[in-house]
Amino acid sequence: MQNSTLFTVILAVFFLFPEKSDAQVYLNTEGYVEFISTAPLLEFKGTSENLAGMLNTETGEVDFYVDLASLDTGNRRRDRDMRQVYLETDKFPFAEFSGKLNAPFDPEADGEQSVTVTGNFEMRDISREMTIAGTVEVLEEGLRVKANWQVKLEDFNIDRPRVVFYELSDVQTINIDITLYPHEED
Amino acid sequence: MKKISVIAISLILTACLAHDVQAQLERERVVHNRPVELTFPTSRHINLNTTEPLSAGELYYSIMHAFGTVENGITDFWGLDQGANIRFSLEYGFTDRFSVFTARSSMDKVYDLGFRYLYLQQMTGGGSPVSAGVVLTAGLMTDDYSFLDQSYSFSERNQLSISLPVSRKFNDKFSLLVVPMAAAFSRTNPFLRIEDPLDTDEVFAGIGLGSRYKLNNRTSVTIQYVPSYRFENETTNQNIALGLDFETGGHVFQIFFTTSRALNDAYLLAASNGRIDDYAFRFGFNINRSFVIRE
Repeated sequence: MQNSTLFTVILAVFFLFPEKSDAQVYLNTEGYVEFISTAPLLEFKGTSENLAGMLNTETGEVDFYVDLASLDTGNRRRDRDMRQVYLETDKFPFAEFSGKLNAPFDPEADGEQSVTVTGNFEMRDISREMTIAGTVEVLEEGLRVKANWQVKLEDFNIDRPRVVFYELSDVQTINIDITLYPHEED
Repeated sequence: MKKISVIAISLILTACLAHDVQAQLERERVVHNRPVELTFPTSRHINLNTTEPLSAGELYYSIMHAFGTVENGITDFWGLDQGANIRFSLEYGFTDRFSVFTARSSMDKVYDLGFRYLYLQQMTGGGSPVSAGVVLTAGLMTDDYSFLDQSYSFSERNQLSISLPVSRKFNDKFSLLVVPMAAAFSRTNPFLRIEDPLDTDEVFAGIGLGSRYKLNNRTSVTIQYVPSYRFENETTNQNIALGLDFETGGHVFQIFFTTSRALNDAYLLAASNGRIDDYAFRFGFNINRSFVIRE
């Protein structure tokens, strides 16, 4: 009885204090994301410094999300139209992408390495599978991840004005730039 | 010992769960408390001023119309043949709370100059439960009044009005607007559009009420009721209007039926109103357009 208790305690200690030689999970909640709308008469972008991201180098899993209410287009009128009319951020607060690296990257290599991830991009409770190309750069303090891809607003049931003026492009280019830091579990 | 085992197993389970959670980040909102937006889609609600401010660098243009009464039916095409009172206005936002406007109404050829300031903002996550603003307008009647055997000097043509809109967005669909208003004229006349049978009233006051109910993301039903009191005549004039708002992104179209031909604040309080049961109401519409001219 005593032996089994001791074994359980050792197991608990093993789980609670894993070996920290290689960080497998990299995180940050203050990455940069921009949504660029290029319409014939008007180009503008909504930016946020609140992109949250995670990359697990062991499993290849990646996960990113942003609170869409934090997007700033530089004009309050446009911001409120974006939040209230197009994105409806009170009902659908997040844009998110969860997926897996299609191939591992070399943690020893210098410079930016091209990677692709396949997963689901979700906005307004609508999920679309996509493969996104990006880069990973191994830095001393962590991993810098950059990627860009395009989404069509109509794929996400966004009520874009189609009468009188086309102020908002149906195709939005999304750029992300985030440095992920090793996550040490407590 | 058993207790230690239970604690240890709990810790293991917690640790395992923690590993699982790492597959996806926990979703957390970063914006918890921000201003309630688009309580009304534009700075005008039929005729009333709303609490919707312009943004800094925004140019807002509106053109408002009120046609003749519908009582003659097809003879004058339900009032459209009688021509419209038309008010053009241009407003520019210097900050996200302060804007200045100028306007011109065809009825009595009135030129307006004024400002709008939002001093209280309803918040989503606590704070003020309402938004409140002030709109002050100075006007000058420039009609030559050639039909009158009277002359009007510059100082007899002035008017001043104040509106204090207070609004609350109760939910995504329903918004309410209460607008205490007052207007003063330097001179009135029973033969002009300002209803003043005793030719003595120069001050008018009322409380405008407005609300909108969204039918869908782009269409709302709107209603306006403005009782206004004439202090010397001791009478109350009542304006009622019912309409629809259409938002098209950039534009807001407002169509309505109203009992008054008035379009600016002072005339909304002072000008005459028809009775609905006599079919003395009119068709009108506003076109509101915003431009971002300074980023």
